[in-house]
Amino acid sequence: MAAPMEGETSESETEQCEETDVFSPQFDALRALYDSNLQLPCPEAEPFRDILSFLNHYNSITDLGQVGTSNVKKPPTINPDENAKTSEQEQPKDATGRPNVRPSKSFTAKSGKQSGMLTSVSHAGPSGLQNQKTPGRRTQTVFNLMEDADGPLSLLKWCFEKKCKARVCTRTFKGLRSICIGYVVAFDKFYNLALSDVTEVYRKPPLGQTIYHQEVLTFSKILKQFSMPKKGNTETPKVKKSRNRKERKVRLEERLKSEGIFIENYHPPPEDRDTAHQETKTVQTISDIGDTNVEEGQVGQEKKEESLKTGESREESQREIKTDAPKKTGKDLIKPEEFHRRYVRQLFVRGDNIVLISVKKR
Amino acid sequence: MHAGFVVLSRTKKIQTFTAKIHLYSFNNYSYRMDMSKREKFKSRNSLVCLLQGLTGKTTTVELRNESSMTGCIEIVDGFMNITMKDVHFTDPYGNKNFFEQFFVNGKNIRYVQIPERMNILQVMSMELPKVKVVQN
Repeated sequence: MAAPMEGETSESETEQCEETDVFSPQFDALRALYDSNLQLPCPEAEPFRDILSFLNHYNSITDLGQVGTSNVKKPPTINPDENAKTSEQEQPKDATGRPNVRPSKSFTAKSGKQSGMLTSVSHAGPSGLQNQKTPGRRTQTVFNLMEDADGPLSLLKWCFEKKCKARVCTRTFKGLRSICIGYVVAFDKFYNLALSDVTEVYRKPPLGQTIYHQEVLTFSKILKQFSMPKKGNTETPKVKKSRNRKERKVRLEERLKSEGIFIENYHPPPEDRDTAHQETKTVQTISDIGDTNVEEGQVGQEKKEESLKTGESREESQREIKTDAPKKTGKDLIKPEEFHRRYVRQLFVRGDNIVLISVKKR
Repeated sequence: MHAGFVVLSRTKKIQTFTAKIHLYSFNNYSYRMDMSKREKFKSRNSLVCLLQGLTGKTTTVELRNESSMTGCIEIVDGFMNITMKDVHFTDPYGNKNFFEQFFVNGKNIRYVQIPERMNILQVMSMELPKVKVVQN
């Protein structure tokens, strides 16, 4: 905006003054930006790029214990009279050509630029800034979180302090994957862990549809692998079993009788995934012993013999098992060969993948 | 380091901006302006700071989908996203590839193997001061 023209009335002049006056309620920032006659309340003040750099500067001043801390809490007072200045002040401008905009702040009638700057701070948000400067305020860091671990995380803290080995169970997108045993070096609230001396026993999930038909892996099953001998060493020699059908059948019956399985008027339960799974499992383990056509012994033996002869479907005959029979401890479906073992000196585990953590010894 | 970038020409603006970033990274108590508040919080309050201390080291990162990558870690951000260079990538099927640049989303990471010689707690304590959160 150009300088006021000579022909203008005094009213418009005062109007303009009011608009460019920083303290007046009619302050028009846009106008002030382009006004070459603008009278700044505090022209010696140091210009800053943004609020952050201003805060930086302010902190450095208060750190040094200079003038100002007492001024901070005083409320800002508006003294428009102070602004009347005779000399024409040209606004310091950016090299971009635009005048350097100062954050609009109110000033007390104090001399000195520093005090002026500092009192202005109180207007900008005293509570926030005071937080920064209160003594004894601890900044939150990972280490603090580790020390203050409460509730479930206290177990991790315990592991970390007592230096005992923790068993960390990890997961694939569906089901369990591995158990890592190692010392907890660091942890956080997301359960990200830094472990050292890690022995991991894992089973890679098969790719594709097979994973849905796979035997469900449990924690104890993986844990068993730790104590099992390494690949290639079998402690129990394999016993060769006769392939004679009758003998097999007899053997089977005996075994089942010893376990107390009686099948009488068996009604298969409604289609339930778990039970179906169990059924297939028990059946398959029995069939592992011999031929696939071997059936489970039962009281109604004759009936079975008939079915054998008639060559009924395997499924039908297999269904005639009571599910509440004690679990077969024969060959497990999960073979130890599926598991891999490795040792890593230092490992970082992302908390997303952790299912559970247990401690080895209390 | 005080902010005193008042006089900037329009053409030089960008250059000096990048220079500012470098200065911030060398300064211990720096106000990282390129990180969001959430990211800063994660950098300070989680083990991401440990991974950030691994920049420049060659390690193996194993992903959730059973693939793994061995390479030199360039940058780790607050969300655990990792940019690596000169990476030997093994996919879940076992095929190996080589990439000069590789980016992994933080959520897809399962393990990161930490080089043997590194003291974890020390690395973390060195990383923490680099990110200071401005309290508002």
